[in-house]
Amino acid sequence: MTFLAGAAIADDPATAEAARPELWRHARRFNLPVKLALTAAHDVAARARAPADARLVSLSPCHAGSPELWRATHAFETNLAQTGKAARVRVNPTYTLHAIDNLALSALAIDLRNHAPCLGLGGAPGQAWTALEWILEQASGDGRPDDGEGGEVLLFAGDQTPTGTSALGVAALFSDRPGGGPAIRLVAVERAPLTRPSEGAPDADAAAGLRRWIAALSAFAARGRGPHAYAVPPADGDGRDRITVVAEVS
Amino acid sequence: MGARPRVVVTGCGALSPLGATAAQLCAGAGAGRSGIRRAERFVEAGLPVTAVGEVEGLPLDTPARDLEMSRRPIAEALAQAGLAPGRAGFVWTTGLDTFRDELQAPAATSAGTRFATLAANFGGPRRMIATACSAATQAIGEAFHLVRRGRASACVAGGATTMVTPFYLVGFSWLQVLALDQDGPDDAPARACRPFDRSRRGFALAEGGAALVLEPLAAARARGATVLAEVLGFGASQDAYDLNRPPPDGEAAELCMRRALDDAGLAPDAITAVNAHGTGTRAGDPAEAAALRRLLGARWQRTPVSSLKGAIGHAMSASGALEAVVAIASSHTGLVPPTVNLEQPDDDCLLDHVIGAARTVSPGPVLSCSFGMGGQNAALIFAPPPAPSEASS
Repeated sequence: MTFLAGAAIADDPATAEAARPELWRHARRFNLPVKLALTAAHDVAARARAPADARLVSLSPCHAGSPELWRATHAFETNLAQTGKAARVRVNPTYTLHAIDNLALSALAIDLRNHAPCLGLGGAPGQAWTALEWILEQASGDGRPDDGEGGEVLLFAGDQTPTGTSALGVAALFSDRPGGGPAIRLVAVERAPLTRPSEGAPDADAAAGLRRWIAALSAFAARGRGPHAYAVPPADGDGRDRITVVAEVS
Repeated sequence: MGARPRVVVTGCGALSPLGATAAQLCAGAGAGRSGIRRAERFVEAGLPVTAVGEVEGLPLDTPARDLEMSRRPIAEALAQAGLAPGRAGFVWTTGLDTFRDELQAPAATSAGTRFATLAANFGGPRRMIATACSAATQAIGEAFHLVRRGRASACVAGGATTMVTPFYLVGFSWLQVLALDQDGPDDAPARACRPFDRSRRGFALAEGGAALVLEPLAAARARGATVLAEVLGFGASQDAYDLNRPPPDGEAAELCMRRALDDAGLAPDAITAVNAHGTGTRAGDPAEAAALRRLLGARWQRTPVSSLKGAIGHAMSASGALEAVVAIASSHTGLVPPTVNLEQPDDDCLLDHVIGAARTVSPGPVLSCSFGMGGQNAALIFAPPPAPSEASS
């Protein structure tokens, strides 16, 4: 499960909707980061041997919600504060869905008819690298056969700016065999404690760090072969560790 | 293939509507007490739901109350285990963001930043789980595998939530899963949540937190720690069916239980009791009952099943950890708590329900299940502490 067999980025809503109109119609109730995460995930799922059996790993947004949810919440809280009454403010249940942290994971599983064991990681800084560690652990096993079937992991994430004005979706497919082109294999995620807290103030975003790593790895693979050690920028880290992602291109 | 280390629980902590410790939670559950009460501030606000499971031991004006909901059970569990956090990994869920805020953009209290604050004291790995109502069960399962694989020498796992807020009460009531207030004599708050009962009408939203300390049996023995239970297996699955409701046949719920049994190397007839998810919703309970009947086969009529949610409500992402604490106690005492408010099991919820009073069975493996809204399912199996003569792997 450690070969990077495909990756996709979705950062322009208009382009993403034009490319997958059926998905966007189906996902119309969801907020933008979920739509973009699903777009990217479907792009790499198309390259999977058995998407229904792949283990799905989602990274929840660090900035959950949507402008609609925030407006409704604002109206709700303001009304409650001013009148002492809450019941007259109607909250659209769709907006409640925007607060749900596993929404993208659930929607993708439904789309792919996927019943495999999954992992939903929350919106804390640096969980993308935790996801890569989890993938390495699944590949190494622990003496028992995996109960997943396919030998593939689909990692995906969506997040947005704190104001919800722009968003990003990222997905990567890991497999027990390489994809087309150079073989890119995830080797290790190395950690060492940060010596000074100021080194590591992270910018909370579930997807941006993953995009930067994929871009760096892809650029390296386009140039040559060999080991690739990616020092995760402090902004993409967890605020505790200096993190290095080691891959190999052959 | 080398022998795998056995993984045990050496610490439990809980903060719940039944009390401020794990012992109080287990005692209240065993006695069939209810922690669901009417919240007068919600009555005054005119909310359609006012019967909730609040932690009275943590007043609403407690500074950083959401963090305290995690910190107290974590501290209790670590103290019981005799471990310092710097030695341990941390796999935790803090639920959803809480949206009650200031007047510009609602800078919500972010669940992720709360996790980061809590995780800062732990050595690692540090993992935040987000799979809705199954999150704490998944967190414990992931911690179990981290310890079994040797990736962590010990782990604190579980979760906490403080979602009993007007916003979520209104939002979830629109999603038609909460037990709305109703007119008439049957509106006692303690009767709001009625898992598997004919008259069930949803769950009572609750808050709370619970933590377990997991470590290898060999390490626990070397430290002289008291072993509370062994973790035998963990399984997960996805419904892939619908965002708001499970498939009526509970197929994927059964799948995660079978995966937990497979992970444990057990047959279904080894299970002595089931700590069910049992939310009291119209759709969820029959699906779970169907899954359990198929899983248990001929033994479904004599394997006791209990749901904690009648007593404490549904603490969402924390519920699996609170239920794990009770399941652990059941595994070694053999005392299976009653399902509070279950009087007449619905025709499509038939199981060997524990009704009215706790039942005593032989100590043994207990299955504890959680099924998240959106379709993420997780199951754990706890067993009594291994005898001193048993091997550590």
